[in-house]
Amino acid sequence: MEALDAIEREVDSAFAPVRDEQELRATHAKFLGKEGSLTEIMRRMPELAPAEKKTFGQAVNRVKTAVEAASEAAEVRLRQAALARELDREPTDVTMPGRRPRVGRQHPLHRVLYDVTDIFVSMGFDVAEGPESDWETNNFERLGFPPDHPALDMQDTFFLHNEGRPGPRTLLRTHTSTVQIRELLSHPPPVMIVAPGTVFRCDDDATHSPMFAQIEGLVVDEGISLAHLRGTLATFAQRLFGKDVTTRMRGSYFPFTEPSVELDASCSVCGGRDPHCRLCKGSGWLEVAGAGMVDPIVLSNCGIDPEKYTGFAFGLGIDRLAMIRYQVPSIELLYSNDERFLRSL
Amino acid sequence: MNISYQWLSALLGADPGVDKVARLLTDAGLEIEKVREVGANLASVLVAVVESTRPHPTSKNPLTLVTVGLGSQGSLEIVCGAKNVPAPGGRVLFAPVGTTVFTGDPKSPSFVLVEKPVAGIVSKGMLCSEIELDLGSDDSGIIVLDEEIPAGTKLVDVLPGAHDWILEVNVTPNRPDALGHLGVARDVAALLAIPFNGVRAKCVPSRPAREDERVRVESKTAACDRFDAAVLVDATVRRSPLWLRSRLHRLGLRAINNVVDASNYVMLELGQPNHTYDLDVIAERTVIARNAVDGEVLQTLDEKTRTLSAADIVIADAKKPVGLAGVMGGEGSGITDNTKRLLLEAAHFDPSTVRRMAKRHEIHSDASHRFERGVDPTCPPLAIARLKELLVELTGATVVDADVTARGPSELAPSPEVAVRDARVKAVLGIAVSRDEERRILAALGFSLVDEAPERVVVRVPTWRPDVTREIDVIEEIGRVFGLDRVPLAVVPSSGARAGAVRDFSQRRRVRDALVALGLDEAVNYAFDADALFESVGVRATARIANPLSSDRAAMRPTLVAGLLKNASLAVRHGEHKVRLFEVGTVFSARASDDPHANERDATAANEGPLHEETRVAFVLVGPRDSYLGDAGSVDVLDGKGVVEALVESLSRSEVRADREGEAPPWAHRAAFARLSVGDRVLGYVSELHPSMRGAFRLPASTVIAELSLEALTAIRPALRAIRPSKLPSMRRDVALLVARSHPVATVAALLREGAGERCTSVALFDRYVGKELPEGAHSVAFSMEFSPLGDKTLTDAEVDGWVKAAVARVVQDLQAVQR
Ligand SMILES: [Zn+2]
Repeated sequence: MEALDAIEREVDSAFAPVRDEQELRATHAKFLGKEGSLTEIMRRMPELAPAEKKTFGQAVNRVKTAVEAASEAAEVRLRQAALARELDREPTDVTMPGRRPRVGRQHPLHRVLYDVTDIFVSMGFDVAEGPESDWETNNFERLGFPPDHPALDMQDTFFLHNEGRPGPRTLLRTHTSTVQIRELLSHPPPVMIVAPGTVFRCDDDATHSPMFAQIEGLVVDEGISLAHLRGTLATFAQRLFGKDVTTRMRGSYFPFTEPSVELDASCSVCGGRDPHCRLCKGSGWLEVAGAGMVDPIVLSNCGIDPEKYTGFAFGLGIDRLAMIRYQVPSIELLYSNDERFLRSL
Repeated sequence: MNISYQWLSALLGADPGVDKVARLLTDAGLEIEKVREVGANLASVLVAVVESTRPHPTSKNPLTLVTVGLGSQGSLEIVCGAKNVPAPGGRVLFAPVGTTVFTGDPKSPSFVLVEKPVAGIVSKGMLCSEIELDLGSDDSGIIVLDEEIPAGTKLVDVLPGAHDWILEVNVTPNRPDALGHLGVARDVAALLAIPFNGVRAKCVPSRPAREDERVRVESKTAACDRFDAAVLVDATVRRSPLWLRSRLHRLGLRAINNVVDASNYVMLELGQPNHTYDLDVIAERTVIARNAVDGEVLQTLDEKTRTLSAADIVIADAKKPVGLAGVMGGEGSGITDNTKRLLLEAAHFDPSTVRRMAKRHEIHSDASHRFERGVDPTCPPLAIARLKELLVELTGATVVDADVTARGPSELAPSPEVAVRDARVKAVLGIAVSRDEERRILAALGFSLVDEAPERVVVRVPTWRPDVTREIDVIEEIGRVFGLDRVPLAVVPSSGARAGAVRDFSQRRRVRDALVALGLDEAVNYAFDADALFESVGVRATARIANPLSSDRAAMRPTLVAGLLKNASLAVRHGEHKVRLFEVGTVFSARASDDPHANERDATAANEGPLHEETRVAFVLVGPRDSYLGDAGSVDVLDGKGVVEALVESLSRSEVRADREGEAPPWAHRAAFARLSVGDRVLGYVSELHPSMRGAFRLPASTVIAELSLEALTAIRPALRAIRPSKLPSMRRDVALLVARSHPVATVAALLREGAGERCTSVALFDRYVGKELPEGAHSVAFSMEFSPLGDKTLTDAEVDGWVKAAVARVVQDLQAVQR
């Protein structure tokens, strides 16, 4: 019994200096391990008289509980100390740059091209495409350009080397309107497409690039009028520039539309109130699209009855929209592929 | 086309305001690109009379002190540097202090006159030249007026339209009528719904012609269907008065002399080009429009000698050509200071013929610009009459009764009659136009009513609108004057129609999105470049532009690689050491003649073009790998392969296979390239750049490029099937093997997997070591093998160890590998 009391007195001081897991286990074993002092005493239990056994058993249990409690307390203390150590380590300098995966940049032209396409697709248009090289038949004749007409000067054309082959001249398409022909030849109306793509003109100055991107629209069905054209482009302009944008439609000329119009959107920056506006230059209007009703000759050139079907077509310059959206100071930057330019957007 | 608002206003007999006119015209299809205010500075300028002159007392420069009288405002002494100060009594223009004067220097175009001493003497203003008042381009001296005008008169009181606005009109090719003030005025009148009577010429007195004043004209060509001529005698050729000189100047023409200026003035008024000749140099006083004889030579007014062909139409006298019809006059028959007798010409030429001539001779003149668009064929008599009227006034000449008109061999077709159905007007414009309004509009534009029925009208097109031939053209005219902005908005009933002309739009987009997500930046290069650029990567262009902007932009690109290397090179030159660029674009090659798409009809039907076009996907990686505060090494071919693997995984969850088969592209490094495939489809090649090509681009050894076929990349789209993941853990074992480097790692991995049995779900290389202590030609490769349980049966260590042992045994046996 005395030995038991001595052990009990030892418990607290034994666990107090414990500094780590290993010491904790060793200390615990000093009492309750195979050779532990308490274990030793308990091993002597059978030698005791039955009357003593009960009291002694109770005492042993009391001491055992004390050992376990002290051990547990020491463990909690150790855990807290460890936690505190981990939390109190030297803080990371979070002003250092993050370890990040590289973020790629889609070319600004394609961002705009896809945004514009998505707007039209959401309005029920499907996407059509044609080749970038074509014959003058598809680029001009079937679109109603008269031969030897000054309208041809509106589009300075890159012709291709024909290598002496017979047939119509070949060229790089000057507009995505070639896809009108290809679409109209591919199936009978109804037709409702947009055709995004690359086009080429023999023109290179501060405001023109010899290669640029356009998106063409074409709707041919029974009962289509200029009002449908306007409604379509007005909805488009509102989705692209904002819902407060209004439109105006004015006369223009394209050989393949009649009547031909320009559709302008009110300036989304100044609303026409700033004479020095960077966007509209004070006019209050932005040219959105050249458009018009499909010239009957285009329909009949593609075997479609212009008395039965009418349609509208429009063309938008993607480069200009990209320049507006990203405030690109000059068009050649769009084709510079200068990483500093690409990664600025 | 420049239009003077004052001139327009005079023709209309109305002053609707320049802003309103500009807006109306723009809305109706004659877009006003710019309005330029001119002459606002002239309000203070006075006519002054020279009273006396004396040389400047001290200045070494030839300055004159001129005392001028300003009428009721007394006299002033002005310092003047001009050499042409007139004798006392001469009239000059005086700009007092405060007037804005121009310099002719675009850098500082104008300044406001202040009182400051010139060579010690203070003037209260200056005597001005044409340039200084922006009234002309003559800077040889001060303006000296010929007219008798009282001193002190305000210039604006004697110069009609001195304060003006120049409208810069973008005249589309369908509107030749708008290449003269008359046509623009007609549009304005129609838009304002005000009456307009056009231009009429005053009848000028004439006398009978003597025999030697008579001319003979003839048209021997169908390209000239009308040729009008007239004769004036006793003309004095001299400088035009200030009003004419300034008007031409403001509209962008140079004043020459009163005869040429009158001719230009009539062209700007009516849009009818015309010409004046010195009658005394016209052989036999005979003028013929005819085809040129092959090899005939003509020196044109631009001092170029032109060799003509039978396709050219010339105006000739009895001996030789005197002008290129409708394009440019000839040297030697024009007006000189000594010309006394004038032959006036106004003719109509076939638009296409003029256009072809102008193209062939590379001349773009005011005349050809108008004729090729189509001038009113009935206009020549009016132009002749207006010319006579002006020339009598300006040159003091006398008209003789020698007017002649020649007709061409074929009559010009009368302008067409067109039926316009009310229903069609509404169907096209989307808005009904009342019959009254329609009739008013058409009448104002010069259409005459031929017939009218309840459902349609029939109108005759005016002769000045050659572009209008069909109902739809008339509907456009109605629409643009009615007001296109009145067209309401309607929603297209979606037909749900699918596109027929389909190529690879969505595939391009998917690949672009995927590569951007993998951290690459997108380039867009021109489709054409220099042959030399493509040759620098060993690829030859087979398709080229016949009329390139320059010879180094003539080749259609046969590869995307060259452009990307050029871009990378630029970045490196700018100090960027890490480049990650890709491009998805078209490459071009000439078709073989037996190509089924070599002819226009078949190719168009197949939505193909004359060149073979293929969409490629290419990228370039240069410099260090992405790392952080440490050296992760530079990119090599495996970084490139990794991009393709990740791309293919994101596109189709497929595995990329690499081998060294096929014909590697010339830019491939033979020790570091791979042909990449998915299934049995070859995607293309990835490689470190061939060392011999690095120099041209000044790129480092760590330059990796790839070029793949978009079609192959996107063709494989396996149907994906979801798996139900096991609730039980999988197990991993690492295996290190010493194996000869001649055995591809993929072979080692495949054998391990094969040997490990079907529970082995992945064998991944995670370490590779080459070192001197290893046997010659060997490397140590370490693989992580993953085993997954089947169903609800937990894997045991013992069975997994068994599988690994079997796998290793397989490699040891087949490849003589040693487990480490
Ligand atoms: Zn604005």
